[in-house]
Amino acid sequence: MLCLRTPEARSSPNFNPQQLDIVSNMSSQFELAQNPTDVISAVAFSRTTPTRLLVSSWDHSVSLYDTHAEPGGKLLDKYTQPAPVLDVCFGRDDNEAFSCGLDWEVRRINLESGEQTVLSTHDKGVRSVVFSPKHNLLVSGSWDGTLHLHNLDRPGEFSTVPISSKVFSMSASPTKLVVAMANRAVNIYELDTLARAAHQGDNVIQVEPWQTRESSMKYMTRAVACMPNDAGYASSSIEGRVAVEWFDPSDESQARKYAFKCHRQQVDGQDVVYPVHALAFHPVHGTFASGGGDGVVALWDGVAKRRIRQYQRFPAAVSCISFSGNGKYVAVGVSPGFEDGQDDVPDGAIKVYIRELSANEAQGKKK
Amino acid sequence: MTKKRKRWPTLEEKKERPWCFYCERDFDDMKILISHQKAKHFKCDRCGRRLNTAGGLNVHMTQVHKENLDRVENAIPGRSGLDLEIFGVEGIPADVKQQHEDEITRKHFEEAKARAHKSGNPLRDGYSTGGNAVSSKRQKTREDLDDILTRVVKFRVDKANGVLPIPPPVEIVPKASPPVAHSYGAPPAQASPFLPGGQFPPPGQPFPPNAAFPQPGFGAPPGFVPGGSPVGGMPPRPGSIPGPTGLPQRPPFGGPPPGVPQSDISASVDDLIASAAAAAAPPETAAPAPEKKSKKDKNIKLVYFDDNISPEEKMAALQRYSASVRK
Repeated sequence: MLCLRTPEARSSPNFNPQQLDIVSNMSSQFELAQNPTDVISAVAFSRTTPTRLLVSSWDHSVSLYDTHAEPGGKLLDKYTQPAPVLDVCFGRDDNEAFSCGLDWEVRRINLESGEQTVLSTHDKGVRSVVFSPKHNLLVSGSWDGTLHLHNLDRPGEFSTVPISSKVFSMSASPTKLVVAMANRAVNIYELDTLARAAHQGDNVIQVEPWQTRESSMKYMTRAVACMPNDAGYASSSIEGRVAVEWFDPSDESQARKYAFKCHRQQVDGQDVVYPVHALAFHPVHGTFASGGGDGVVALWDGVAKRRIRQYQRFPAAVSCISFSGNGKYVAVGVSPGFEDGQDDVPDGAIKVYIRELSANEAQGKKK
Repeated sequence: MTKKRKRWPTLEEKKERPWCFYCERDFDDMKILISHQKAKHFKCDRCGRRLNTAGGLNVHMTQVHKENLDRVENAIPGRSGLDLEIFGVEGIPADVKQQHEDEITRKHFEEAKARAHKSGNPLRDGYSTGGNAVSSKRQKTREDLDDILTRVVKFRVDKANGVLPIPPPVEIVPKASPPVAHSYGAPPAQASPFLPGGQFPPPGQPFPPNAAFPQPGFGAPPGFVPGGSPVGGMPPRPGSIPGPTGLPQRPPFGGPPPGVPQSDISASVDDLIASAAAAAAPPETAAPAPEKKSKKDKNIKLVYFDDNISPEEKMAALQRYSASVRK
């Protein structure tokens, strides 16, 4: 009977190693011991070291962790900035990070020495930074309605690309950059084009997006994430919905796009709809996770249009999600969500959870 | 269809009811018990899947969520063990079953005794106290032809004089409710709108049989019945309608003493009605609300609904960050 797979199987006489494998694959989840003290804005795993994690927060800090050096993870270093930090990402190697925030600046952080260099200054808060290792290109997107392109071959210089609206979220696939903006606008750039433009080094350059799209959802775009296989992207809105669409402009591919409702809760017969704050694709399986204001993280198979699983509710809203480069771990930033009609950010748990995924926990439907 | 439930089921009937091992609740029907167990005790809190037994849920938890089940949810203390394979009433250990039946028996006789004490009726035979504790049968009235004839004559005279017909005298329970119920919010002048002539009903007068429970001045939407009184063209049965719950009893009608102006009485009655209405107000205001909700197809509440300003921008504008945010 199926019951054989329960942990008691260990003591059964017919015990075989396969079962041990299943048992040891039991996923585990823990929270970091030392967490930021204010809302967490971003979590980012290193592409190469699966236990190296950056966390940015509204408490003006960027923190670097080794998630498995000791139980509860080890806080390796903390980099303080003058204003709340809105995004962080790893740079060319494990010792370089880029951050941006409400000091309007895009910073490079040397994680070893702690030295911070201002790469550029926007005219308003900077919402998002994305680094493309292949193109050696750092892109920052700001509420001032511009992108800054930093060609890291030429330190200290950057180019400004004016776009139609404030940037709310950005994500890069191997060849594309998706910029989600206010007014439900979405621009898709080819990273090659951006890299070339950055190479010219003019101060202000007009770069034609490869595609301009309107969000397929009716409400404000909250997050966007590109598929690791370069086929398309998922975006989410403040109205508990996620859309999946494909880059390929052909009618067939465009007909495949869809959106679905999620992160909603029935309360006294009323449907309470939470914003979907976070989206992240699994680098190996190509499935994706969504995190919402309801504190729930769900894993989805975007191709088979299935929900793979939904995790137990976290104690507060899920603000960001990141998978490690090998897809073994997922980091979930949990902080109280700011809701309309509130005067302040509510009190609540501010924690980063690390979940170790079992072998096929995030695997989609097999073909 | 389930059997019609008796008001006072016998002990045997009570013992036959299926009951839940985990929470000691009993049910009309085995189907309901099983769906209760699936929903309350064997439901996966991760994905909401409803399993048939605790063992099934355990296997599901291990395989699907890679987690271990340690107890049955919502069980009373001592009953949350996973070792018993319970399905419906099957699998309940004999001693627990015996204990449950003893408890039913004890409660049954306790209730019967309390009822007998209250009603003053003798205890029925040891087991079946089924049947009615209080006789609700109306007393038969005996009339011979002469009595009927005099009534017919009286009726004709009354009708000619514009006096409403008085049906044969019936024992009326003074707390008949309809006059209270239909005049919510009605102005004092219309305190008794069912009497077009403005005349107060004489003592012991039941409803005129053709008055189809008038509802003027009643603020609730159609279909809402205060205190569960019958409505919709059905004339209220005289004498047997219990007062709506939450309403104080009406004092017995006394006919208007001669010389007292009609308006005084209707005003005092109206005071009574007003206080009664106040007491009964909560159900009135609470009931229409769900109706409204069900009418609305899209009853949703957006946690965040701004179209163009992201949560981060709003947070950045908060007082607590004002010192550090660059402007």
